[in-house]
Amino acid sequence: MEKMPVFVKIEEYEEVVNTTATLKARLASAMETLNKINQLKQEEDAQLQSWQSALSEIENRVSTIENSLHEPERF
Amino acid sequence: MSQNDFKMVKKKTTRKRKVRRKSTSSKSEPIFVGLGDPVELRRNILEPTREVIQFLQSYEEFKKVKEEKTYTIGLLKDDLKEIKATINKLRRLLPRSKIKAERTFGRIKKDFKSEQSEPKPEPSPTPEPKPEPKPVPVAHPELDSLERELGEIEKKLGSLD
Repeated sequence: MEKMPVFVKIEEYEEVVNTTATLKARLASAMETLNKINQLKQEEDAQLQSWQSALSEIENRVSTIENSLHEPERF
Repeated sequence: MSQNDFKMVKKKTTRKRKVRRKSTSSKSEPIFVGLGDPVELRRNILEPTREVIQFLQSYEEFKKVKEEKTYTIGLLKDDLKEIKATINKLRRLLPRSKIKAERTFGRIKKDFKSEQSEPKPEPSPTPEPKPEPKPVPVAHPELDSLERELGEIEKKLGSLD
């Protein structure tokens, strides 16, 4: 089927153009905000990761202490 | 010294004895544990303490980051609301019509002729239902209105296919 061109009448063309520009600006702002949220989320994730490794480290040290108390040196 | 005073003193002595008995019974015999590397053990006790303190410090930072994230999510929500309003404005500005891809030239011509015969300058094929938020007593009215709008838009998109 042959595609036919469609023409539409736009009453307030200037306003449409302006609204489109505003929409683009808002979208750019939203994208920036989303990037910021993503960055903050990454910071949170890094913090959680460091806490996890810190807790594992503490766990290991406590196990070492426990071992040294349960299995004392023999003289 | 009266008789009552004497009794009180006597009572006190009996209480003391009881306490002593308790303390002697709960006491366990001391055990001496030989430590191969006491310095290392000391380090193993001190370092977790230091790490826990650092942990608590970083928790404060984490709280700040979380607060900032919450605030930024609020900003994003505002941005999205504005985008939605702007899109609605754009929809209002653009002409309303259902354009179907399968329309043939003849049909368009026919439509055009019928438009010419009618005095209306801009014919709207069918009056589209406006997205009026109906008052529904539900716990999340905002979510419901969004769902309704989404349904309407999907319906419109379906009619375009």
